Amino acid sequence: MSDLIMINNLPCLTWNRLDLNRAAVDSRDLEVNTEVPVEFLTLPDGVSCRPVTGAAAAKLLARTPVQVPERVQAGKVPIYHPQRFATGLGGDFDRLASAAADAAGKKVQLLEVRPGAAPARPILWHTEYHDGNRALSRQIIHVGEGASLTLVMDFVSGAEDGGMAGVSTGVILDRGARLDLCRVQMLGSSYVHFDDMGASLGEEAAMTYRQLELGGSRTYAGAQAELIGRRSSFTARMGYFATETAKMDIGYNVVQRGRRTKSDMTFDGALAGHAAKTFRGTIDFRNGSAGSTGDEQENVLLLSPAIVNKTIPVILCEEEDVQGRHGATVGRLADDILFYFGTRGVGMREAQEMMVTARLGAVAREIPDEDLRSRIDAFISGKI
Amino acid sequence: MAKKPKIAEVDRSLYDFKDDESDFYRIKAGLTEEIVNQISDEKHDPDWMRAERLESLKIYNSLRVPDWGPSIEGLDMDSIATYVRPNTGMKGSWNEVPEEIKSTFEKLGIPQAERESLAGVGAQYDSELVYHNVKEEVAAQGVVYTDLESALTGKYEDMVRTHFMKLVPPTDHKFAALHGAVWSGGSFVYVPAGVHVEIPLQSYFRLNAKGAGQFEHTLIIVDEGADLHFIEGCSAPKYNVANLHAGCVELYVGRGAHLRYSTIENWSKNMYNLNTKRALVEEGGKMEWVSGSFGSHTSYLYPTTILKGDDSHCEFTGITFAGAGQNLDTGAKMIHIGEHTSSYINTKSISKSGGISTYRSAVQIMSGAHGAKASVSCASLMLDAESRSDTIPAIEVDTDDADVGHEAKIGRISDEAVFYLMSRGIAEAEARAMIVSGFADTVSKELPLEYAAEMNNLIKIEMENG
Repeated sequence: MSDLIMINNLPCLTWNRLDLNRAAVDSRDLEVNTEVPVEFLTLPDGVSCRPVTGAAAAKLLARTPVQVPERVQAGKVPIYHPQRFATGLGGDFDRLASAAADAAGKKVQLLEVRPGAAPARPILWHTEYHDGNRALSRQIIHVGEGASLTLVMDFVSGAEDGGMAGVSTGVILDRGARLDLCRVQMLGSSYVHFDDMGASLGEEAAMTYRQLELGGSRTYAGAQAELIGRRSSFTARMGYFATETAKMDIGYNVVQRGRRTKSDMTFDGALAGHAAKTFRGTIDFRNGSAGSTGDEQENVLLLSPAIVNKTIPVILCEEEDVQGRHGATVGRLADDILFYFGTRGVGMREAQEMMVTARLGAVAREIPDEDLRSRIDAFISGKI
Repeated sequence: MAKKPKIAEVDRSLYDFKDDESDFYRIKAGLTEEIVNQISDEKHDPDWMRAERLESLKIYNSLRVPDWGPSIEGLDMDSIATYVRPNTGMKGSWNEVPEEIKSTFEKLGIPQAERESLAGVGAQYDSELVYHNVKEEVAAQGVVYTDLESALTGKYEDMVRTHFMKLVPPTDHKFAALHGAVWSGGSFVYVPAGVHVEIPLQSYFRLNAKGAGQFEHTLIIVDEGADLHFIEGCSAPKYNVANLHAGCVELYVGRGAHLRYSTIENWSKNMYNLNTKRALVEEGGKMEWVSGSFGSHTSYLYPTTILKGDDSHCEFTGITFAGAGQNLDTGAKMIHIGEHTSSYINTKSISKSGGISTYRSAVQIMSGAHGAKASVSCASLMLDAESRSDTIPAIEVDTDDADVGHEAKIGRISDEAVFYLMSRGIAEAEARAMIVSGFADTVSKELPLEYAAEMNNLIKIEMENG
């Protein structure tokens, strides 16, 4: 049966005619027909990975501190759409994806890092899809007190393949834990991709989230970070490249609850052909987050007159002693840059290619796997 | 740092005085076809206007209350009288205005401002204008400044008919439809091609009646190459029941023309201010908004500019100060249609004593707006942790040939700045008020001196219980 589900909900509503408050998706888009295996290299000492049932996963996530809903309501509907454990794509996706995966007997992968463990090498989590695959994978990453982990996940398929690739990740960082989570999506041109992430950060925990969304026909990427413990921090570096008729819907929501928390997010993207992109980015300072700072910047390079770019960078604030900033720049290559390239014999198209590569390369450079970086470069070059 | 002094509640005695309305004509509360017909009768509407009112009522009944803004559950249309006429007609001399009403406007400084610095004044009291005058030398230039009702049936009827509620159609939103059904009062201004009105015109709207609404309509047409500065002021005494303001402003800026529209809004804190303002700018035209929002219980206010003509330009400068019990949702919208259009939004908002301030905006660059440039800068100041400040700016770009920048900041008064001023012998409360005034400086410097002084006075009242 077909129903619309609402995902990437903006935590505060604005004019409906702008079509920014949420993305509507046909529930049939989440239908599953297979399980795609994950390829691991060997797990380092101190790290374990085991399948658990959906019920056990929910129980584990429920042990995190309660994420109190908004004190003030901006409109007649709740300003916030609380889940027990909030994720970026939101409650509708969470419920439907969990139900679909549970019904198919698919388990949740629980990746745990023992307290104090600090693996020297990143874990590479490679998932390869084939034409016609429709699969949802779920993980919980639990990094124990004082431990650290770098996890690199990539999702790939053949260039012309189609299907559905859904991934839903819950992150629990205990006191002083560190996580560097990298996600790279290089799916075929007819794939629909759902990327859902929710993180709960304890005292002095730190998470860096690097995300590259490069392929697919429709991408829905949602991330929610709850900075609950004092001095916890969330850093995001996202890059995206949408071409032809691709649609991209991105929602990042950082809720800063603890004292002296910090968020720092940059989003660099390029749009070409008839691509359409919506970006919602929110920094939400809650009561009690005194001494916190939040910074968000989006830079969009426009490469075609037929693109549609929508951006809504939001700051919500109910705490006096905070500093928040957001900025956005949207435009094509400046004339002076083109002129500079021209004087060196570089034409406009070539200059555009170089700028796209440079922008996305800035995110890719930080990914700690040389092979993956090479594949990213090749993928971007192929798309250009 | 010393403990912050408690900032007392606002003393609005300067604006908070009430007149007896026992001999006024007051239509019964509510909104029905019978009431709309009654208003139409009272105003001797031409047939087309009556038909538009009734159509607007139908639209009003078919539309929903917005689900995205502050709550307006405290507003009960069945308790609002949509038309209250004072016991006087419109006069051309203050001496002919009834003493009590004249005294009200004198307390608000309107006749004095007219003598000293205005080219013309319109003064509305509840639902009707009680005074309208324009300086002879301005009228001699061909400038028309009159009440909208007179323009409806006089030689400007066609001009009014082709422009009235065309920029803000009743279908736009529920309160635009409400306005279309029950509008009363307001001004019509026409500045002929090439005429520069050197000193401003001003309309002042006073809502005295308890449990009533004010629905004035301002229609301004600035013809090709002309220039005008129009000032709008408003205030009301405070009652313990809801009042409603659902005015409408439609501004047409012709080719190469320039219009500056300045507002200091100071409604009482029982007012629901659901106002709609929109401007259409033709080729090479320039629109400037200067907007200060200080009063109201709840505000929805987003002046919109449609940059239709090539090379047209708009600047919006605004400040919002939300104190105890206020939920002020303000901002601006810019719609770029023409080529090489440009817009600049610069806003400040301040939240204090539990007040909620929301900056909300939309910048839309349509597919044909090649070479468009837009810039948005908004800054919010939180004065305590009981208050709330949200920033919700939307940007849509439908062409690659555009350049859009956005910057927003939120923060509090720096302890260092307060300490610096205190080390020079300034009391803490005064130091904080000075810093807030400085924060608002970008807006006040855009206003004529006397209005900047009024705005600074309002900030002082809010900050110091002046």
